This record gives sequence, C-alpha cells and structure tokens, in this order.
Amino acid sequence: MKASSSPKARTKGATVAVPVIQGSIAFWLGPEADEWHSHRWTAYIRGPKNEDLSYFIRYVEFHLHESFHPSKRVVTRPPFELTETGWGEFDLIIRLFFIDNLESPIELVHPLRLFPNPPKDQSVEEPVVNEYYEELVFQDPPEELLAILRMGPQRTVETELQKYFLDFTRQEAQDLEKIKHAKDMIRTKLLAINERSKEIDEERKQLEEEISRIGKAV
Amino acid sequence: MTQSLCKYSEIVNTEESVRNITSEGRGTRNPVYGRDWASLTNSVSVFPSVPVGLYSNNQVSRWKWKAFSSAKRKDGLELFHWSREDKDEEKEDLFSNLNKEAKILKYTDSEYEVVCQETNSDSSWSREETNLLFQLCEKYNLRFTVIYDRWPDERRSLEELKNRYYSVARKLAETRKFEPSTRNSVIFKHVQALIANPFDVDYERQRKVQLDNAFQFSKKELDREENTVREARQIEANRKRRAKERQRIQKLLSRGGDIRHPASVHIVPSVEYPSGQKEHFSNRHRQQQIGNASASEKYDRKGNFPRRRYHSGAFERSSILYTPVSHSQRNIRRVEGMLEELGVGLRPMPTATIVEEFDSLRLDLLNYFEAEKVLIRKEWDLHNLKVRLSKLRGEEPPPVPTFLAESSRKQEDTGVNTSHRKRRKRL
Repeated sequence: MKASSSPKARTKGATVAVPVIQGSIAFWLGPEADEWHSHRWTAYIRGPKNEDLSYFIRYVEFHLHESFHPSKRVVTRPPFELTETGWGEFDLIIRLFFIDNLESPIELVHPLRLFPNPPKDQSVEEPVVNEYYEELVFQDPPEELLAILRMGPQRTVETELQKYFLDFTRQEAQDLEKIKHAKDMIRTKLLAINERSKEIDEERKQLEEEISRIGKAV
Repeated sequence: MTQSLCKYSEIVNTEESVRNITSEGRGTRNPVYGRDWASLTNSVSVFPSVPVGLYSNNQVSRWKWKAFSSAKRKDGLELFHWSREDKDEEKEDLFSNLNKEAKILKYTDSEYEVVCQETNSDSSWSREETNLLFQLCEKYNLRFTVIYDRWPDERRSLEELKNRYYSVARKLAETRKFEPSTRNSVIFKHVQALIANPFDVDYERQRKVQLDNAFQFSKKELDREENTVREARQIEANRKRRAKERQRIQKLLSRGGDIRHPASVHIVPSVEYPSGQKEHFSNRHRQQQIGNASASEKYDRKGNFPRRRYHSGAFERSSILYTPVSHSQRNIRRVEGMLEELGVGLRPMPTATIVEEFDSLRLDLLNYFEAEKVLIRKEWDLHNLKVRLSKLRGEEPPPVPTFLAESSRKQEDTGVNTSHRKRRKRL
C-alpha cells in the first residue's frame, strides 16, 4: 500500500491514541437450529462512530477456537468483522496489523458472549451484544504513520449490524464519577482511621501512666 | 596372657560371633590363618604387604639419644631426646625462641607512694602484699592462675590479684616518662598496651559467672535457652521483613501520600471531561485524546507504578488497567475485591483520564489497607495494655473487642483461601 523503501524514523516524544471498539454480536438461531450451530455471531473491530479504520489498519487477524477450521481468519478490508456459527463461548484473539510494518501488531482478547448475562430466556430478535471500548496508544510512532493518524479517518463504513452498536459517549463521565465517588469513600475511611489512631494514642498514654503509677505503688 | 587365652577360647566357642563378623564382611576364610584367628583379633588379617618402591635403597639416617639443656634454666638441667645424627650440630638451643619473658614494671619507693595515694580506693592492699604479688608475677610470667595457686591468703580472688597488678602497673605506666630512644623497646609496648586496655574487674567477674552458669546448664535449660535465642532471631527477622515491606509500599505510594498521615493523601484533581458533542465527534475526541495522552506519557515516564516502563511502540490502553498494583497476591485480590464492591469494576473505560484516576484509586486502596493494618495493630496494643492494667488492679481482664476478634479471624480465613487457591492453581 503506502509502504515505501525510505528509512523509517520514529518520532520521539509523540503519542497518539486512537479509540476503537472491540465487540461481538450473537443471534440465537431458534429452537429448530442444529445443536452445533445454535448461534450466529459476528466479532468486529470498529470506530466509536463507525469510522473506517482501514486508514491505519492494514488487516485484522481473528484467532478462533481450535475447533474452527481454519482457526485463523484474516480480514483485509473494512468493515473488519467476521461472522461464524457455533454453539459455545470462548476468548477470541484479535490481532491488528498496521499499515506501517515498523509498528508491531497489537493483540486484543475478546470474550465471545452468546448467552445473555444475567441469564434470561433468549429470543431470536434480541441479539447478545458484548462491546468493549479500547484505545490504541502509539508511542513514538513512525513519521508516516503519525501523519496518517493525525489526519484521522476520512469516511465511515456502513454495516447492517450498526443498529445494535452501543454508544460510549457518556461512559467516560459515568466511570469517572464512580471512581471519584470511590476515592471519596476511601478518603473518609482513611480520615476515620486517622481519628481513631489519634484516640488510641491518647488512651495509650493514659493507660501507660496508670500502669506506671500502680507499678510504683507496688 | 591367661586372660587373652580365656577370651580366645570363649570366642572360639561362640559360633555366632564368628558368623557375625563374616556376615559383616570383615572375616576371612583364608585357610592359612583361619577364621578363629580373625575373630580373635577382630580385624582383617592380611599378610603385610609393602608397595614396590616405597623404600629406597639409600642408607637409613641414624638417630641418636642426645642430651640437651635450655639456656633459660639456671639449674642446668639436662634432658634427653632423639635427634638425627646428620643434623646434630645445627641447632644449639632448639627451644630458644620460646624463651620469652614478661616485662614487668617495677616500682621504686617514691613511685609506690604516688601510686598508692592515687589508688586509695583499694586500700586493703598492703605494701608487703603488693611486693609479693609483683614478685610472683615476675616469677611466673603473669600466669595468674599459677600465682593464685601460690598465693598464701585464700581470701583474695583471682580477679582481685589481677586487678591489683594491672591497676598499679597502669598507674606506673602513666607516670613513667620514656625517652624517644626507648620507643621501640618491649617494655614501651607493654606500657602502651597497659594504658590502652584497662582491666575491668566487674566485667571479668560477670564473664566468669556467665560461663560458669552456661556450663552448669541442664539439657532442659539449654534447650530452653536455644529456643529463646531462636525465637528472638525470628522476631528480629519478622521485624526486618515488615519494615522492608512497609518501605516498599511507601515508595510505591509516594504519589499517594504518606501512609502514616492518611489526611495528607493526595487527591488528583479530576480533569474536566468535555461533554460528548455529537458533531465533529471524532475530531474533538481525537484532539482531547492527544492532549491527554501526553499527560499520561509524562506519568508513564515517571514510572511510579510498579513494573511499568515507557517504551516506543503501540499498545492497548486497557493493559494499564491490568498492571498489578502490588507484588503481593493477597493485596492484589483485596484491591480487586474492593473495586468491585465500590462499583468501579476492574475494567472502566480505558481513556487517558480514567486510566490515571483508576491507578491513583488503586494506590489509595493499598494505602487504606496498610493504614487499616497499622490501626488493627494499634488496637491490639491498646487491648493488651488494658489487660495488663486490669491484672495489676486484680480485676477481671476485659474481653477482646468483637471487631478485633473478627479481624484476626478474617485474616485466618484469607490464609486458608490462599492455600486453596494455590492448590487449585497447581491442579
């Protein structure tokens, strides 16, 4: 593609983070389906707003469970998704290869979910969606890659699954709120410990005085 | 002779002993000597053999029973020993290098006056006694055990004799002036040694009492003593280990503040998060990411977190969420449990801000656990003091507070859990 023979230098000090979403969507194929193929699922890598990620991803390898043949599937064009049928859950390994060979691939582990959590009756219409927000961080990327990353995605891709995709825009604020809340809790607890520790020191002093007084009297 | 014959017949008659020896492989069946002979001498009977070439054909050197005398002896006593003839005349006095004599300071009358005045504290010593002591010291070369043996007055202890001699000699040494020309003499060295090492009677007495006690120990007492020493060593090792662990955590938490002052725990000011705007999302998002990434990069470079290094290359940000916060498996599990309990979970959205906040939260949690541990130790100390006080007063000791009992039980429980987990892991 854009690979050139010119020597590639890393840009020291530059860091770029690209948000992506790893996910899987699983449809139950109904009670009549073959027991070995009870679900049809799709695993994918997408941009948070369905951006076309091929501007920096050359291809994606999906490593499936050994019972699939072949267990290694390569997707070279967007959207980077892979559809299969099966009956069991397993951990998928998704390997992202970048357009610049100098940058080594990133490996993501995605747990494939076929059954709703918490467990409930499955319906054919409602798929099981399992998505994780992820950020790919490029530290000191090669110059060319840096330029491409800075330019950003040029277009979006359409896929029929996108109506099921989750929206992560509010997620960060919510998570931050939770962390802040937790920190406040811990801080109050620490303050309480500090208070109690001071009390103990006081009480100790008194007790020690008392003991030495009695000891002298004896 | 008769006795040995008796033994011989005895052994000959006991077949068993013979069998024993042969079964051990020490007997011999050599018909020339017979098994009975072997059992009699209780050793392997082998014809004496000499390796070829052990003895050369050279002539054997001759030895002579020769008289010798020591120059040190004034009575000219002659003793005899074997010596080789050819080296006969080499050394006139073989043992002359052993002729060493202790140099002893001697006092004059005027000196004795001075010394006596200064050592008034030990007035039990008369001039005559001191004279005798110095004479004996000279005669027996400061061998105090011998001097003590020859001492006429039984009331004096060995230490007293030593102390008298060394204190007087020290005083003398201090008053004497030495010419520079005599600086190399034996006596000068002796004087210097006297001044440098004053004799400590009390220490010497204690040392001997201690040694004596140790010698008198029964087996049981000795065991107890050894146990005590072992326990003391263990306590010391534990203390060191704890101190080291605390130091490590302190270092680890240097970002989170000092454990001992929980109030000073540094709270990282939360960064304003721009509310997600639908339009131009990706561009804005990207800019913000880049900005934050540089902040996190700075943090990574600082390397406050254990096992985290800055290096070139691409990685997924969520991996930072999974870096272990502590070296201790138990601490890691506790932190994870607490994160779930607090509703944060183990994998919040891995943006730059959240990753940083999440790290600092985890460090705060470690901080908190440590503070809790210290507090529980303090509570125990307090409880023990209370028990001591009530004992002194003759009252019923207070019961262990329920939360303390629980905390110790909880620790036991987790201990069991770890072993279970370990076993499971191995399986």
